[in-house]
Amino acid sequence: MADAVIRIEGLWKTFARRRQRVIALRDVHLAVQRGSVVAFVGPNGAGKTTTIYAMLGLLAPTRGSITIFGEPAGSVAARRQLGFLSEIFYTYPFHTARSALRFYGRLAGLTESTLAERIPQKLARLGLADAIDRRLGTFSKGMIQRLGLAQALVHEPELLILDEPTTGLDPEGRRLVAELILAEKARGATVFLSSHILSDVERTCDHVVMIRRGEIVVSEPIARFGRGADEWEIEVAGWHPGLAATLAEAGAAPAAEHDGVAWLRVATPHKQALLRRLVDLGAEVGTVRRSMQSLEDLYMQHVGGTSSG
Amino acid sequence: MADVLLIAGTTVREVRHRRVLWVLVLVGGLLLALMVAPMAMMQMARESGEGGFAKRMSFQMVDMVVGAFVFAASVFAVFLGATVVSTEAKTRTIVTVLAHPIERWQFLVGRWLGVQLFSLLVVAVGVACGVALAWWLDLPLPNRFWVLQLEAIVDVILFCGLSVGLATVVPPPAAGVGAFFLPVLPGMVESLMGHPSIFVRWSTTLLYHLAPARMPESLMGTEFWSDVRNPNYGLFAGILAEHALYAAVALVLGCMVFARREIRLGS
Repeated sequence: MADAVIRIEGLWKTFARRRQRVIALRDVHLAVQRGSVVAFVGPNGAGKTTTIYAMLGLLAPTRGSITIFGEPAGSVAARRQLGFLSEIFYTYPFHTARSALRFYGRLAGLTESTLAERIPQKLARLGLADAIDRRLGTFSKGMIQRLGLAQALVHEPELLILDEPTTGLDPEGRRLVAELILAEKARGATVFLSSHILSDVERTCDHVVMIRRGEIVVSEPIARFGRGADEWEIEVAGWHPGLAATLAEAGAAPAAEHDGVAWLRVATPHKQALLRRLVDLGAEVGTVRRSMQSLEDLYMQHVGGTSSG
Repeated sequence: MADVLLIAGTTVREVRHRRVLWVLVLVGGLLLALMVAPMAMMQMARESGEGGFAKRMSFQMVDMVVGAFVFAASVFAVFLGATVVSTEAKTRTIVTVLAHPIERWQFLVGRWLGVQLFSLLVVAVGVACGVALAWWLDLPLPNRFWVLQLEAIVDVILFCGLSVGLATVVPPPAAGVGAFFLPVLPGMVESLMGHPSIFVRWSTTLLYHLAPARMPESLMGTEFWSDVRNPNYGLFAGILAEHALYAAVALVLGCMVFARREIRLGS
């Protein structure tokens, strides 16, 4: 954990609304490693944007701390190597694509000569080469979002924070975003991606963090899910509290339980040992199958049905 | 400094985009309409040999033109200054800008500078129109015309600094009202400073000293063509300097508050 680009420790955020205290984030701990692509997943109102705004220094933590590249969140040093795109890229409609990128690029510390070279490159990469001198007031929602990506990438930051970047994009635009994320990863950048679209997350990310009502409920490598999963599920009939207690001592707990039937999940190296233990205990072992839990299964299991948006 | 200028340039473009210029065009149109009658009267006075009256009418027309633009500039300074941060929060453009490596004070000073430059540009247009009208009417402008324009410029700077500074702590309408009232507060409370009630006396004295110094009308007069007996240029310059300093202090305090403030966006 030494090389964490983003480190969040014990983050709490409360808001006062109509004389009531609303807890937006509760005891959030997170470490994002350099060069990784981390998905931040959760329903509307779970606290994703609040966490991101706290990372940018727009909101102050009620308790806890956030560091970006070892610098306090919100400091100029922390924002120097950071590119950010919000859910919808809100910008000034009087700019052209070129002047908007020049504005944001200059704010990021780029020189005019660098910008003169990079702006056409980035716009071409995002399919906006033909619109370089068009006023943003005439852009479609998708074009604005692509420009927002160009804005986040123009200074080639080491950390990219994307808050639901595919909002308003068509399938082609979504694919482009996925390709860009992978290209940024190949460049060595770290990507923190807030998203609802689990297929995009599975395609691009190394690690998934799920947030539910302000709490982190899952933090797992993506490799755990789908065909690449290195886990097995064992069906045990006649499940009872005594068996549960005995297996808990051995470090095994049911992933699901229904009508006296439990499903135990176990990593491949421990499968045989657990099966032997179950037989020794006289448990009725049913189906043994390779775990094919998808990200969507995990999402529904941990955060499904909590959307407030 | 480059970042401040970038923000200022964008602010000026944003103000133009908000169709504020149409208000100026409206001011110009109203002025032209209002000047038809005085022009006719002045022409008649000239033809009937009443040179003194005609000259006075000419001066009044020049004063009216410049005064209208200065008033518009003051309104812009207060209105735009009070909404300088809230508009960025409302349109959410502030999020992307503040995600970049700039200090909060640079953002606020840039926004202030943009509004300030725009307001001063309106004053400059008004003064240019006044000078052009005086030239067309063959009217020599006395030095006191320029002295009073300096006062107008400092007034606009004061309004702008106050509204931007106040807008970091109170909502835009309160900031606007505060920026308009603070400069006139000494004149409003002065008569109560000798009140029998100690509470009223002390509170009004406190308000009198907290507010920017009042510019006595007798110091330079209000009509640039009238003579003022024993003008006190030293006191005049001192009060102007205090007003400019007051604006600067309001802006610095605003920057300090804004640097620590959370950025909450309207839903």
